[in-house]
Amino acid sequence: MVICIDEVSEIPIYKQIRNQIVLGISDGKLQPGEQLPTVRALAEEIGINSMTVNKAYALLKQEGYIVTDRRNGARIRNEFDQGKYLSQTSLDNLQQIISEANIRGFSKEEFFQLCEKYF
Amino acid sequence: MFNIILFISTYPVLLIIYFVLKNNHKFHDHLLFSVSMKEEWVEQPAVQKIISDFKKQMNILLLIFFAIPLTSLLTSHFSIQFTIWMNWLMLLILLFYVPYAIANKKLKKWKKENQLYENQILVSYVEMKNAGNVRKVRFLPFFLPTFLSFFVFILSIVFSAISEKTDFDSTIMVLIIAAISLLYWIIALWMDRRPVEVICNDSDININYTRSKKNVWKNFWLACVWLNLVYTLITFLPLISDTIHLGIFLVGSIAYALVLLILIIPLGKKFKNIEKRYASSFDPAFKTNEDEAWIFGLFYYNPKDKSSIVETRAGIGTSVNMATGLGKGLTIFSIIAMLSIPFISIFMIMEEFTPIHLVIKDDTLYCEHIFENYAIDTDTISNVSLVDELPSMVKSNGTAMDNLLKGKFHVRNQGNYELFLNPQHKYYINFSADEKNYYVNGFDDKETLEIYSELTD
Repeated sequence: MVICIDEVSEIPIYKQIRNQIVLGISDGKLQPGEQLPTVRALAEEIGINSMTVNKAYALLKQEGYIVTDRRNGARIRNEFDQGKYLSQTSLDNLQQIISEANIRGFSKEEFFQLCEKYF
Repeated sequence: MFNIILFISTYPVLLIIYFVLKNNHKFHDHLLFSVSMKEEWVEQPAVQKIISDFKKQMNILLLIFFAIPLTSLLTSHFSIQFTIWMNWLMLLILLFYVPYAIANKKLKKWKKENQLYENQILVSYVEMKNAGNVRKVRFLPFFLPTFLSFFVFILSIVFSAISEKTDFDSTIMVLIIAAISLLYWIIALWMDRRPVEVICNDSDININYTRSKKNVWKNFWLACVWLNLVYTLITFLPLISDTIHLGIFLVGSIAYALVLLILIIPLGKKFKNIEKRYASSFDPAFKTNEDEAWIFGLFYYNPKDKSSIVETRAGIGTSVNMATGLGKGLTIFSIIAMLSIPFISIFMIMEEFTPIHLVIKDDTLYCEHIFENYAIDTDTISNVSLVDELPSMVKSNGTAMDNLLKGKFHVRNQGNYELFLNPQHKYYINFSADEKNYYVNGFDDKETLEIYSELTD
Protein backbone atom coordinates (compact mmCIF):
# COMPACT_ATOMS: atom_id res chain seq x y z
CA MET A 1 0.00 0.00 0.00
CA VAL A 2 1.32 3.41 -0.96
CA ILE A 3 0.85 6.28 1.45
CA CYS A 4 1.36 9.94 0.68
CA ILE A 5 3.06 12.28 3.13
CA ASP A 6 2.65 16.03 2.68
CA GLU A 7 5.35 17.68 4.77
CA VAL A 8 3.92 21.19 4.49
CA SER A 9 0.34 20.21 5.32
CA GLU A 10 -1.42 21.56 8.39
CA ILE A 11 -2.25 17.99 9.29
CA PRO A 12 0.58 16.55 11.40
CA ILE A 13 2.45 13.70 9.82
CA TYR A 14 1.42 11.17 12.45
CA LYS A 15 -2.23 12.05 11.69
CA GLN A 16 -1.61 11.64 7.97
CA ILE A 17 -0.19 8.17 8.58
CA ARG A 18 -3.12 7.29 10.80
CA ASN A 19 -5.70 8.58 8.32
CA GLN A 20 -4.20 6.68 5.41
CA ILE A 21 -3.98 3.43 7.31
CA VAL A 22 -7.64 3.78 8.24
CA LEU A 23 -8.38 4.51 4.59
CA GLY A 24 -6.36 1.46 3.59
CA ILE A 25 -8.35 -0.76 5.97
CA SER A 26 -11.60 0.61 4.61
CA ASP A 27 -10.48 0.19 0.97
CA GLY A 28 -9.33 -3.35 1.57
CA LYS A 29 -5.73 -2.48 0.74
CA LEU A 30 -4.86 -3.51 4.28
CA GLN A 31 -6.38 -6.85 5.16
CA PRO A 32 -7.48 -7.96 8.63
CA GLY A 33 -4.56 -9.53 10.42
CA GLU A 34 -2.02 -8.01 8.00
CA GLN A 35 1.36 -7.17 9.45
CA LEU A 36 2.34 -3.51 9.47
CA PRO A 37 5.98 -2.40 9.18
CA THR A 38 7.86 -1.89 12.39
CA VAL A 39 8.03 1.64 13.78
CA ARG A 40 11.69 1.91 12.93
CA ALA A 41 11.32 0.51 9.41
CA LEU A 42 8.45 2.80 8.51
CA ALA A 43 10.19 5.83 10.03
CA GLU A 44 13.28 5.06 7.98
CA GLU A 45 11.24 4.53 4.86
CA ILE A 46 9.47 7.88 5.23
CA GLY A 47 12.56 9.66 6.55
CA ILE A 48 11.04 10.87 9.80
CA ASN A 49 11.61 10.39 13.51
CA SER A 50 10.41 7.04 14.85
CA MET A 51 8.51 8.89 17.60
CA THR A 52 6.15 10.22 14.91
CA VAL A 53 5.36 6.71 13.65
CA ASN A 54 5.07 5.53 17.23
CA LYS A 55 2.48 8.22 17.87
CA ALA A 56 0.50 7.18 14.79
CA TYR A 57 0.53 3.52 15.85
CA ALA A 58 -0.42 4.43 19.41
CA LEU A 59 -3.40 6.40 18.12
CA LEU A 60 -4.48 3.55 15.83
CA LYS A 61 -4.20 1.11 18.71
CA GLN A 62 -6.18 3.38 20.98
CA GLU A 63 -8.89 3.69 18.36
CA GLY A 64 -9.02 -0.05 17.92
CA TYR A 65 -7.72 -0.39 14.37
CA ILE A 66 -4.52 -2.24 15.15
CA VAL A 67 -3.02 -4.44 17.81
CA THR A 68 0.58 -4.32 18.89
CA ASP A 69 2.83 -6.51 20.92
CA ARG A 70 6.57 -6.54 21.48
CA ARG A 71 7.12 -9.85 19.74
CA ASN A 72 5.04 -9.51 16.59
CA GLY A 73 4.97 -5.76 16.11
CA ALA A 74 1.83 -4.09 14.82
CA ARG A 75 -0.90 -5.75 12.79
CA ILE A 76 -4.40 -4.87 11.61
CA ARG A 77 -7.11 -6.20 13.84
CA ASN A 78 -8.79 -9.38 12.68
CA GLU A 79 -12.18 -8.08 13.60
CA PHE A 80 -13.51 -4.63 14.18
CA ASP A 81 -16.13 -3.56 16.65
CA GLN A 82 -19.29 -3.29 14.58
CA GLY A 83 -20.94 -1.13 17.23
CA LYS A 84 -21.77 1.54 14.66
CA TYR A 85 -20.37 4.46 16.57
CA LEU A 86 -18.03 7.27 15.70
CA SER A 87 -15.75 9.15 18.04
CA GLN A 88 -16.70 12.67 19.04
CA THR A 89 -13.82 14.02 16.94
CA SER A 90 -15.12 12.18 13.87
CA LEU A 91 -18.64 13.49 14.51
CA ASP A 92 -17.28 17.03 14.84
CA ASN A 93 -15.40 16.62 11.56
CA LEU A 94 -18.55 15.32 9.90
CA GLN A 95 -20.50 18.32 11.19
CA GLN A 96 -17.82 20.58 9.72
CA ILE A 97 -18.01 18.88 6.31
CA ILE A 98 -21.80 19.01 6.23
CA SER A 99 -21.67 22.71 7.15
CA GLU A 100 -19.28 23.44 4.31
CA ALA A 101 -21.42 21.49 1.84
CA ASN A 102 -24.48 23.34 3.04
CA ILE A 103 -22.80 26.73 2.55
CA ARG A 104 -21.69 25.66 -0.95
CA GLY A 105 -25.30 24.96 -1.96
CA PHE A 106 -25.45 21.18 -1.74
CA SER A 107 -28.88 19.75 -1.08
CA LYS A 108 -29.22 16.81 1.28
CA GLU A 109 -29.70 14.38 -1.61
CA GLU A 110 -26.69 15.76 -3.49
CA PHE A 111 -24.61 15.44 -0.35
CA PHE A 112 -25.71 11.81 0.11
CA GLN A 113 -24.79 11.12 -3.54
CA LEU A 114 -21.35 12.47 -2.86
CA CYS A 115 -21.09 10.33 0.28
CA GLU A 116 -22.10 7.27 -1.70
CA LYS A 117 -19.35 7.94 -4.21
CA TYR A 118 -16.70 8.09 -1.48
CA PHE A 119 -18.17 5.24 0.52
CA MET B 1 57.06 5.81 -20.55
CA PHE B 2 54.76 7.45 -17.99
CA ASN B 3 53.11 9.50 -20.73
CA ILE B 4 52.49 6.41 -22.89
CA ILE B 5 50.87 4.62 -19.95
CA LEU B 6 48.63 7.64 -19.35
CA PHE B 7 47.62 7.80 -23.01
CA ILE B 8 46.65 4.12 -22.98
CA SER B 9 44.86 4.22 -19.64
CA THR B 10 43.33 7.70 -19.50
CA TYR B 11 42.14 8.41 -23.05
CA PRO B 12 39.38 5.77 -22.78
CA VAL B 13 37.98 7.80 -19.87
CA LEU B 14 37.13 10.53 -22.35
CA LEU B 15 35.15 8.14 -24.55
CA ILE B 16 33.38 6.50 -21.63
CA ILE B 17 32.32 9.84 -20.14
CA TYR B 18 31.29 11.14 -23.57
CA PHE B 19 29.04 8.19 -24.41
CA VAL B 20 27.53 7.92 -20.94
CA LEU B 21 26.70 11.64 -20.77
CA LYS B 22 25.61 11.98 -24.38
CA ASN B 23 22.79 9.55 -23.67
CA ASN B 24 21.34 12.08 -21.27
CA HIS B 25 19.47 13.71 -24.17
CA LYS B 26 17.00 10.81 -24.19
CA PHE B 27 13.57 11.19 -22.62
CA HIS B 28 13.15 8.60 -19.87
CA ASP B 29 11.16 8.22 -16.66
CA HIS B 30 9.21 11.38 -17.64
CA LEU B 31 12.43 13.37 -17.44
CA LEU B 32 14.56 15.21 -19.94
CA PHE B 33 17.74 16.92 -18.74
CA SER B 34 16.39 16.49 -15.18
CA VAL B 35 13.25 18.44 -16.01
CA SER B 36 9.92 16.68 -15.58
CA MET B 37 8.27 16.46 -18.99
CA LYS B 38 5.30 14.92 -20.72
CA GLU B 39 6.03 12.77 -23.75
CA GLU B 40 4.10 15.01 -26.13
CA TRP B 41 6.21 18.04 -25.11
CA VAL B 42 9.46 16.40 -26.23
CA GLU B 43 8.45 16.63 -29.90
CA GLN B 44 8.00 20.40 -29.71
CA PRO B 45 10.44 22.26 -32.03
CA ALA B 46 11.89 24.35 -29.18
CA VAL B 47 12.65 21.22 -27.15
CA GLN B 48 14.14 19.45 -30.16
CA LYS B 49 16.42 22.45 -30.68
CA ILE B 50 17.60 22.21 -27.06
CA ILE B 51 18.42 18.53 -27.62
CA SER B 52 20.23 19.25 -30.88
CA ASP B 53 22.29 22.09 -29.30
CA PHE B 54 23.23 19.73 -26.47
CA LYS B 55 24.53 17.11 -28.91
CA LYS B 56 26.56 19.74 -30.82
CA GLN B 57 28.14 21.07 -27.62
CA MET B 58 29.07 17.54 -26.53
CA ASN B 59 30.77 16.90 -29.88
CA ILE B 60 32.74 20.14 -29.66
CA LEU B 61 33.90 19.23 -26.16
CA LEU B 62 34.92 15.79 -27.37
CA LEU B 63 37.19 17.32 -30.03
CA ILE B 64 38.72 19.83 -27.61
CA PHE B 65 39.39 17.25 -24.94
CA PHE B 66 40.77 14.84 -27.52
CA ALA B 67 43.35 17.44 -28.53
CA ILE B 68 44.48 18.75 -25.12
CA PRO B 69 46.51 15.69 -23.96
CA LEU B 70 48.55 15.85 -27.17
CA THR B 71 50.29 18.88 -25.64
CA SER B 72 51.93 16.54 -23.12
CA LEU B 73 54.01 15.18 -26.01
CA LEU B 74 55.72 18.56 -26.33
CA THR B 75 57.59 18.15 -23.07
CA SER B 76 59.63 15.44 -21.43
CA HIS B 77 59.21 16.85 -17.92
CA PHE B 78 57.25 14.47 -15.73
CA SER B 79 55.65 17.17 -13.58
CA ILE B 80 54.31 19.08 -16.60
CA GLN B 81 52.94 15.90 -18.17
CA PHE B 82 51.34 15.01 -14.85
CA THR B 83 49.86 18.52 -14.55
CA ILE B 84 48.38 18.34 -18.04
CA TRP B 85 46.82 14.93 -17.50
CA MET B 86 45.43 15.50 -13.99
CA ASN B 87 43.97 18.90 -14.77
CA TRP B 88 42.61 17.53 -18.05
CA LEU B 89 40.86 14.79 -16.10
CA MET B 90 39.41 17.26 -13.60
CA LEU B 91 38.16 19.59 -16.33
CA LEU B 92 36.78 16.61 -18.25
CA ILE B 93 34.60 15.64 -15.30
CA LEU B 94 33.46 19.24 -14.73
CA LEU B 95 33.04 20.62 -18.24
CA PHE B 96 31.27 17.67 -19.82
CA TYR B 97 28.30 18.45 -17.59
CA VAL B 98 28.07 22.05 -18.81
CA PRO B 99 25.96 21.25 -21.91
CA TYR B 100 23.62 19.30 -19.64
CA ALA B 101 23.33 22.25 -17.23
CA ILE B 102 22.65 24.63 -20.14
CA ALA B 103 19.96 22.31 -21.54
CA ASN B 104 18.37 22.03 -18.10
CA LYS B 105 18.22 25.80 -17.72
CA LYS B 106 16.77 26.29 -21.20
CA LEU B 107 14.15 23.61 -20.68
CA LYS B 108 13.00 25.08 -17.35
CA LYS B 109 12.73 28.48 -19.02
CA TRP B 110 10.69 26.97 -21.87
CA LYS B 111 8.31 25.34 -19.38
CA LYS B 112 7.86 28.61 -17.48
CA GLU B 113 7.27 30.59 -20.67
CA ASN B 114 4.65 28.09 -21.79
CA GLN B 115 3.13 27.98 -18.30
CA LEU B 116 3.56 24.27 -18.04
CA TYR B 117 4.44 24.23 -14.37
CA GLU B 118 1.49 23.03 -12.30
CA ASN B 119 1.11 24.05 -8.70
CA GLN B 120 3.87 22.34 -6.87
CA ILE B 121 2.91 20.26 -3.89
CA LEU B 122 5.72 18.69 -1.99
CA VAL B 123 4.50 15.23 -1.19
CA SER B 124 6.41 12.05 -0.88
CA TYR B 125 5.03 8.63 -1.66
CA VAL B 126 6.03 5.79 0.59
CA GLU B 127 5.57 2.08 0.00
CA MET B 128 4.36 0.53 3.24
CA LYS B 129 4.45 -3.07 2.14
CA ASN B 130 7.76 -4.66 3.08
CA ALA B 131 9.01 -1.32 4.39
CA GLY B 132 12.61 -1.71 5.46
CA ASN B 133 12.76 -5.28 4.18
CA VAL B 134 13.77 -4.83 0.56
CA ARG B 135 17.44 -5.54 1.00
CA LYS B 136 19.91 -7.29 -1.29
CA VAL B 137 23.26 -6.80 0.44
CA ARG B 138 24.10 -9.81 2.57
CA PHE B 139 26.90 -10.09 5.08
CA LEU B 140 29.06 -12.98 3.87
CA PRO B 141 29.65 -12.10 0.19
CA PHE B 142 31.06 -8.71 1.23
CA PHE B 143 32.76 -9.86 4.39
CA LEU B 144 34.98 -12.43 2.67
CA PRO B 145 36.88 -10.17 0.23
CA THR B 146 37.03 -7.37 2.82
CA PHE B 147 38.47 -9.72 5.41
CA LEU B 148 41.01 -11.04 2.89
CA SER B 149 42.08 -7.47 2.04
CA PHE B 150 42.84 -6.78 5.69
CA PHE B 151 44.52 -10.16 5.95
CA VAL B 152 46.92 -9.04 3.23
CA PHE B 153 47.61 -5.94 5.33
CA ILE B 154 48.41 -8.17 8.33
CA LEU B 155 50.79 -10.14 6.09
CA SER B 156 52.52 -6.90 5.07
CA ILE B 157 53.09 -6.08 8.76
CA VAL B 158 54.56 -9.53 9.33
CA PHE B 159 56.86 -9.16 6.34
CA SER B 160 57.99 -5.70 7.36
CA ALA B 161 58.89 -7.08 10.77
CA ILE B 162 61.01 -9.92 9.40
CA SER B 163 62.36 -8.28 6.25
CA GLU B 164 64.53 -5.17 5.98
CA LYS B 165 62.92 -4.26 2.63
CA THR B 166 59.48 -3.18 3.74
CA ASP B 167 58.81 -0.31 6.09
CA PHE B 168 56.05 1.50 7.88
CA ASP B 169 55.11 3.72 4.94
CA SER B 170 54.61 0.74 2.64
CA THR B 171 52.39 -1.12 5.09
CA ILE B 172 50.30 2.04 5.56
CA MET B 173 49.79 2.07 1.78
CA VAL B 174 48.51 -1.52 1.90
CA LEU B 175 46.21 -0.59 4.80
CA ILE B 176 44.73 2.36 2.91
CA ILE B 177 43.96 0.21 -0.11
CA ALA B 178 42.53 -2.58 2.05
CA ALA B 179 40.31 -0.01 3.76
CA ILE B 180 38.80 0.88 0.37
CA SER B 181 37.16 -2.57 0.41
CA LEU B 182 35.46 -1.61 3.65
CA LEU B 183 34.43 1.71 2.12
CA TYR B 184 32.82 -0.09 -0.84
CA TRP B 185 30.95 -2.34 1.58
CA ILE B 186 29.69 0.65 3.57
CA ILE B 187 28.54 2.40 0.39
CA ALA B 188 26.75 -0.80 -0.73
CA LEU B 189 24.95 -0.96 2.63
CA TRP B 190 24.10 2.72 2.52
CA MET B 191 22.56 2.43 -0.94
CA ASP B 192 20.74 -0.76 0.03
CA ARG B 193 18.93 1.06 2.82
CA ARG B 194 17.21 3.48 0.46
CA PRO B 195 13.41 3.39 0.58
CA VAL B 196 11.34 1.51 -1.98
CA GLU B 197 10.80 3.60 -5.09
CA VAL B 198 7.14 4.28 -5.76
CA ILE B 199 6.39 4.26 -9.48
CA CYS B 200 2.74 3.23 -9.34
CA ASN B 201 -0.03 2.18 -6.97
CA ASP B 202 0.83 -1.51 -7.17
CA SER B 203 2.97 -2.50 -4.18
CA ASP B 204 4.34 -5.64 -5.84
CA ILE B 205 5.55 -3.69 -8.87
CA ASN B 206 7.16 -1.04 -6.65
CA ILE B 207 8.94 -3.71 -4.60
CA ASN B 208 10.11 -5.73 -7.61
CA TYR B 209 11.32 -2.60 -9.38
CA THR B 210 13.33 -1.52 -6.34
CA ARG B 211 14.60 -5.02 -5.75
CA SER B 212 15.88 -5.25 -9.35
CA LYS B 213 17.77 -1.99 -9.06
CA LYS B 214 19.21 -2.81 -5.66
CA ASN B 215 20.38 -6.16 -7.01
CA VAL B 216 22.26 -4.45 -9.83
CA TRP B 217 23.94 -2.09 -7.37
CA LYS B 218 24.78 -4.93 -5.00
CA ASN B 219 26.51 -6.86 -7.79
CA PHE B 220 28.42 -3.76 -8.87
CA TRP B 221 29.78 -3.03 -5.38
CA LEU B 222 30.58 -6.69 -4.85
CA ALA B 223 32.64 -6.68 -8.05
CA CYS B 224 34.41 -3.55 -6.77
CA VAL B 225 35.26 -5.20 -3.45
CA TRP B 226 36.77 -8.25 -5.18
CA LEU B 227 38.64 -6.00 -7.62
CA ASN B 228 40.02 -4.08 -4.67
CA LEU B 229 41.24 -7.31 -3.11
CA VAL B 230 43.24 -8.01 -6.27
CA TYR B 231 44.62 -4.48 -6.14
CA THR B 232 45.59 -4.90 -2.48
CA LEU B 233 47.57 -7.98 -3.49
CA ILE B 234 49.23 -6.08 -6.33
CA THR B 235 50.26 -3.39 -3.82
CA PHE B 236 51.60 -5.99 -1.42
CA LEU B 237 53.60 -8.23 -3.79
CA PRO B 238 56.45 -5.80 -4.65
CA LEU B 239 57.07 -5.50 -0.92
CA ILE B 240 57.96 -9.14 -0.56
CA SER B 241 59.76 -9.89 -3.77
CA ASP B 242 62.50 -8.00 -5.59
CA THR B 243 61.64 -9.85 -8.78
CA ILE B 244 58.22 -8.20 -8.84
CA HIS B 245 59.10 -4.78 -10.09
CA LEU B 246 57.34 -1.71 -8.81
CA GLY B 247 56.27 -1.11 -12.41
CA ILE B 248 53.70 -3.84 -11.89
CA PHE B 249 52.15 -1.67 -9.18
CA LEU B 250 51.90 1.22 -11.62
CA VAL B 251 50.36 -0.92 -14.37
CA GLY B 252 48.07 -2.55 -11.79
CA SER B 253 46.88 0.87 -10.58
CA ILE B 254 46.00 1.98 -14.08
CA ALA B 255 44.30 -1.34 -14.86
CA TYR B 256 42.30 -1.02 -11.61
CA ALA B 257 41.03 2.43 -12.54
CA LEU B 258 40.18 1.30 -16.07
CA VAL B 259 38.30 -1.81 -14.97
CA LEU B 260 36.30 0.26 -12.47
CA LEU B 261 35.30 2.64 -15.25
CA ILE B 262 34.48 -0.22 -17.59
CA LEU B 263 32.21 -1.77 -14.94
CA ILE B 264 30.00 1.31 -15.24
CA ILE B 265 29.03 0.36 -18.81
CA PRO B 266 27.11 -2.85 -17.99
CA LEU B 267 25.73 -1.06 -14.92
CA GLY B 268 24.17 1.58 -17.14
CA LYS B 269 22.82 -1.05 -19.54
CA LYS B 270 21.19 -3.04 -16.75
CA PHE B 271 19.43 0.03 -15.40
CA LYS B 272 18.21 0.87 -18.89
CA ASN B 273 16.80 -2.66 -19.22
CA ILE B 274 14.99 -2.33 -15.90
CA GLU B 275 13.53 1.03 -16.97
CA LYS B 276 12.34 -0.56 -20.24
CA ARG B 277 10.79 -3.52 -18.47
CA TYR B 278 8.82 -1.30 -16.12
CA ALA B 279 8.14 1.55 -18.55
CA SER B 280 4.46 0.66 -18.92
CA SER B 281 4.02 0.60 -15.14
CA PHE B 282 5.25 4.14 -14.53
CA ASP B 283 2.45 6.38 -13.31
CA PRO B 284 3.27 10.10 -13.73
CA ALA B 285 0.98 10.84 -10.77
CA PHE B 286 3.73 9.51 -8.50
CA LYS B 287 6.40 11.73 -9.94
CA THR B 288 6.75 14.71 -7.65
CA ASN B 289 7.54 17.91 -9.45
CA GLU B 290 10.83 19.06 -7.97
CA ASP B 291 12.46 20.72 -10.94
CA GLU B 292 13.46 23.77 -8.92
CA ALA B 293 15.21 21.60 -6.34
CA TRP B 294 17.58 20.33 -9.05
CA ILE B 295 20.15 23.06 -9.63
CA PHE B 296 21.30 22.80 -13.25
CA GLY B 297 19.68 19.37 -13.16
CA LEU B 298 22.75 18.01 -11.37
CA PHE B 299 22.73 19.15 -7.74
CA TYR B 300 19.80 18.48 -5.46
CA TYR B 301 19.06 21.12 -2.83
CA ASN B 302 15.75 20.74 -1.05
CA PRO B 303 15.51 21.88 2.60
CA LYS B 304 11.99 20.48 2.80
CA ASP B 305 13.16 16.97 1.91
CA LYS B 306 14.61 15.14 4.88
CA SER B 307 16.33 12.43 2.77
CA SER B 308 20.07 12.74 2.46
CA ILE B 309 20.26 10.42 -0.55
CA VAL B 310 17.99 10.71 -3.56
CA GLU B 311 17.84 9.04 -6.93
CA THR B 312 19.85 11.12 -9.38
CA ARG B 313 18.05 12.63 -12.34
CA ALA B 314 21.24 12.84 -14.40
CA GLY B 315 22.57 9.46 -15.41
CA ILE B 316 22.58 6.54 -13.00
CA GLY B 317 23.12 6.27 -9.29
CA THR B 318 22.28 8.55 -6.45
CA SER B 319 22.79 12.13 -5.46
CA VAL B 320 22.99 13.81 -2.09
CA ASN B 321 20.57 16.42 -0.82
CA MET B 322 22.89 19.38 -0.24
CA ALA B 323 20.41 20.86 2.22
CA THR B 324 21.18 18.10 4.76
CA GLY B 325 24.25 17.95 6.98
CA LEU B 326 25.58 14.88 5.20
CA GLY B 327 25.02 16.49 1.81
CA LYS B 328 26.88 19.64 2.84
CA GLY B 329 29.76 17.60 4.22
CA LEU B 330 30.12 15.48 1.09
CA THR B 331 29.87 18.53 -1.17
CA ILE B 332 32.64 20.33 0.73
CA PHE B 333 34.79 17.21 0.66
CA SER B 334 34.29 16.82 -3.11
CA ILE B 335 35.18 20.47 -3.75
CA ILE B 336 38.34 20.16 -1.65
CA ALA B 337 39.31 16.96 -3.48
CA MET B 338 38.81 18.61 -6.86
CA LEU B 339 40.66 21.81 -5.91
CA SER B 340 43.57 19.83 -4.55
CA ILE B 341 44.49 18.70 -8.07
CA PRO B 342 45.85 22.08 -9.23
CA PHE B 343 47.74 22.44 -5.93
CA ILE B 344 49.26 18.99 -6.27
CA SER B 345 50.27 19.88 -9.82
CA ILE B 346 51.96 23.09 -8.64
CA PHE B 347 53.79 21.15 -5.94
CA MET B 348 55.01 18.57 -8.47
CA ILE B 349 56.32 21.27 -10.78
CA MET B 350 58.12 22.84 -7.82
CA GLU B 351 59.55 19.42 -6.96
CA GLU B 352 60.94 18.91 -10.43
CA PHE B 353 62.20 22.40 -11.17
CA THR B 354 63.58 23.45 -7.78
CA PRO B 355 67.25 22.54 -7.62
CA ILE B 356 68.66 20.66 -4.65
CA HIS B 357 71.36 22.06 -2.38
CA LEU B 358 73.77 20.70 0.20
CA VAL B 359 74.92 23.07 2.92
CA ILE B 360 77.05 22.51 6.01
CA LYS B 361 76.23 24.95 8.78
CA ASP B 362 76.91 24.73 12.52
CA ASP B 363 78.16 21.13 12.24
CA THR B 364 75.02 20.04 10.46
CA LEU B 365 74.63 18.85 6.89
CA TYR B 366 71.43 20.29 5.42
CA CYS B 367 69.86 18.74 2.33
CA GLU B 368 67.58 21.45 1.00
CA HIS B 369 64.87 21.15 -1.59
CA ILE B 370 61.75 23.37 -1.32
CA PHE B 371 61.73 22.55 2.37
CA GLU B 372 64.57 21.27 4.51
CA ASN B 373 64.58 17.54 3.92
CA TYR B 374 67.48 16.25 5.97
CA ALA B 375 69.45 17.81 8.80
CA ILE B 376 72.25 15.45 9.73
CA ASP B 377 74.72 16.08 12.55
CA THR B 378 78.17 15.85 10.93
CA ASP B 379 79.52 14.15 14.06
CA THR B 380 77.33 11.14 13.32
CA ILE B 381 78.48 10.87 9.70
CA SER B 382 80.90 8.03 8.93
CA ASN B 383 82.16 5.88 6.04
CA VAL B 384 82.10 8.80 3.62
CA SER B 385 82.97 7.95 0.01
CA LEU B 386 82.62 9.61 -3.36
CA VAL B 387 81.15 7.44 -6.13
CA ASP B 388 80.26 8.01 -9.74
CA GLU B 389 77.75 5.20 -10.10
CA LEU B 390 74.58 4.35 -8.23
CA PRO B 391 73.59 0.75 -7.50
CA SER B 392 70.40 -0.61 -9.00
CA MET B 393 67.54 0.23 -6.65
CA VAL B 394 63.75 0.46 -6.37
CA LYS B 395 61.80 3.20 -4.68
CA SER B 396 60.06 2.31 -1.42
CA ASN B 397 58.73 5.75 -0.62
CA GLY B 398 59.51 9.19 -2.08
CA THR B 399 60.09 10.90 -5.40
CA ALA B 400 61.65 9.42 -8.49
CA MET B 401 61.97 11.81 -11.41
CA ASP B 402 64.56 12.08 -14.15
CA ASN B 403 66.37 14.82 -12.25
CA LEU B 404 65.44 13.97 -8.66
CA LEU B 405 65.65 10.90 -6.48
CA LYS B 406 64.47 11.70 -2.96
CA GLY B 407 63.30 9.42 -0.17
CA LYS B 408 63.63 5.76 0.74
CA PHE B 409 65.03 3.35 -1.83
CA HIS B 410 65.90 -0.30 -1.58
CA VAL B 411 69.02 -1.96 -2.96
CA ARG B 412 68.82 -5.70 -3.38
CA ASN B 413 70.90 -7.59 -0.82
CA GLN B 414 72.12 -4.35 0.69
CA GLY B 415 69.11 -2.80 2.36
CA ASN B 416 67.42 0.59 2.45
CA TYR B 417 69.04 3.88 1.47
CA GLU B 418 67.97 7.47 1.92
CA LEU B 419 68.49 9.31 -1.36
CA PHE B 420 68.71 13.01 -2.01
CA LEU B 421 70.31 13.57 -5.38
CA ASN B 422 70.09 14.51 -8.99
CA PRO B 423 70.95 11.29 -10.91
CA GLN B 424 71.99 13.34 -13.93
CA HIS B 425 75.09 14.62 -12.08
CA LYS B 426 78.38 12.76 -12.17
CA TYR B 427 79.25 12.41 -8.47
CA TYR B 428 77.38 11.13 -5.43
CA ILE B 429 78.40 11.09 -1.79
CA ASN B 430 77.75 7.88 0.10
CA PHE B 431 77.82 7.86 3.90
CA SER B 432 76.22 6.42 7.03
CA ALA B 433 74.64 8.36 9.87
CA ASP B 434 72.36 7.35 12.77
CA GLU B 435 72.11 3.77 11.47
CA LYS B 436 70.93 4.94 8.04
CA ASN B 437 72.73 4.87 4.70
CA TYR B 438 72.69 7.88 2.40
CA TYR B 439 73.40 8.82 -1.18
CA VAL B 440 73.38 12.57 -1.77
CA ASN B 441 74.65 15.21 -4.14
CA GLY B 442 74.26 18.96 -4.53
CA PHE B 443 73.24 21.65 -6.99
CA ASP B 444 76.12 20.62 -9.28
CA ASP B 445 79.28 18.50 -9.18
CA LYS B 446 81.27 21.47 -7.84
CA GLU B 447 78.99 21.76 -4.81
CA THR B 448 79.09 17.99 -4.33
CA LEU B 449 82.89 17.95 -4.32
CA GLU B 450 83.05 20.90 -1.90
CA ILE B 451 80.73 19.16 0.56
CA TYR B 452 82.66 15.90 0.19
CA SER B 453 85.86 17.74 0.91
CA GLU B 454 84.38 19.32 4.07
CA LEU B 455 83.03 16.00 5.31
CA THR B 456 86.34 14.22 4.88
CA ASP B 457 88.46 17.00 6.45
